[in-house]
Amino acid sequence: MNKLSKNLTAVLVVTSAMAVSSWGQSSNCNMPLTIHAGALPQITFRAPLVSVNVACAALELDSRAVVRLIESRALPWAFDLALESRREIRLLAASLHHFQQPAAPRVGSFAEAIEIIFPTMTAARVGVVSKIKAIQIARRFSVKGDHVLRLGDAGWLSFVPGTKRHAGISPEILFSSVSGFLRRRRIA
Amino acid sequence: MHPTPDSSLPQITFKRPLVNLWTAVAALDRSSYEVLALIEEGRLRFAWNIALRGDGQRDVRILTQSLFEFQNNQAAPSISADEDFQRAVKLIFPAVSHTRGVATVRAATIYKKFSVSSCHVLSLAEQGTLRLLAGTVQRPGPDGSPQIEFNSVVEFLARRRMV
Repeated sequence: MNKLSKNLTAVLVVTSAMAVSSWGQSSNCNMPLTIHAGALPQITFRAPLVSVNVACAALELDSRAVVRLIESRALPWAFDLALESRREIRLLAASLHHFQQPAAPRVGSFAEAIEIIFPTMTAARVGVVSKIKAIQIARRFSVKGDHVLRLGDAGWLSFVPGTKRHAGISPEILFSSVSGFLRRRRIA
Repeated sequence: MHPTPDSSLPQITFKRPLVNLWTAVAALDRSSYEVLALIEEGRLRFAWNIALRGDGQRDVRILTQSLFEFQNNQAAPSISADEDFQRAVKLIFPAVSHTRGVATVRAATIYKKFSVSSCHVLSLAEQGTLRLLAGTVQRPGPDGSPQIEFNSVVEFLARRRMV
């Protein structure tokens, strides 16, 4: 028997020993026969930014493959919100939606991305300094509250001069520093 | 911050049957404590703690379908609790293999479905929480992932369900 036919025989032995089936049809599992996995569920996202994990679960890819999509801008509008060297990537949920459904509106500019992340903050008013509480940034960034405070302490975000910062009070951050941070931290 | 109208929010289709706690936090824009409360109240009907140790440690996975049903105000189907559980398991593992008459799934399938590392699944097997099929071996390459007895996976999901 030549090498190819030996391999084919091995494959046939394996496939006959391991029949893959819907498990409702097996007498080994006491499961009903009438269950069918329906259409894939669509989840609506209220937070504008999602983690790489969400993209992995949505696209059924590993994190390296998702990061490659981000870096090639196939998934645009992703930001590295890390404090230190370990990346803390957040991706615009709208980008993931557009990736899955190309007919959906595309986010075309940084201004549009900021509008999605902070919908009430982008209308500049003359003579008014836009500011936002750290806790609101944390929710929109999908990070913990202390992450935002540490970004402030590290100089990436600017606290409003004189803002109160103690237990129960979320300090205020200059919104211009938030948009500047996102602009600098955009990936690819 | 004013709420964004639902119609303008992005909808993401999930190929994986389970999502982690933080995905639910982002989808619902609620805190992790609030999402855990929804699980404990049974409003997010199917969730599991798949941590290596069941005591104290928490590594939550929520059935994507349960999150979908919660967002769309869908009531629980009119079937028995047992059938309901089996339906949930079937969404996670729609098909199994049969090896020498025993229903099995590869460790690699489990870690992909659970969104955990391969080490996590192998550790669950080492501690006896999941049972390796007798005689199965781990080796490099295609089909090298060890086979796990499917019944032990179902038992694990039954024990670790959060309610």
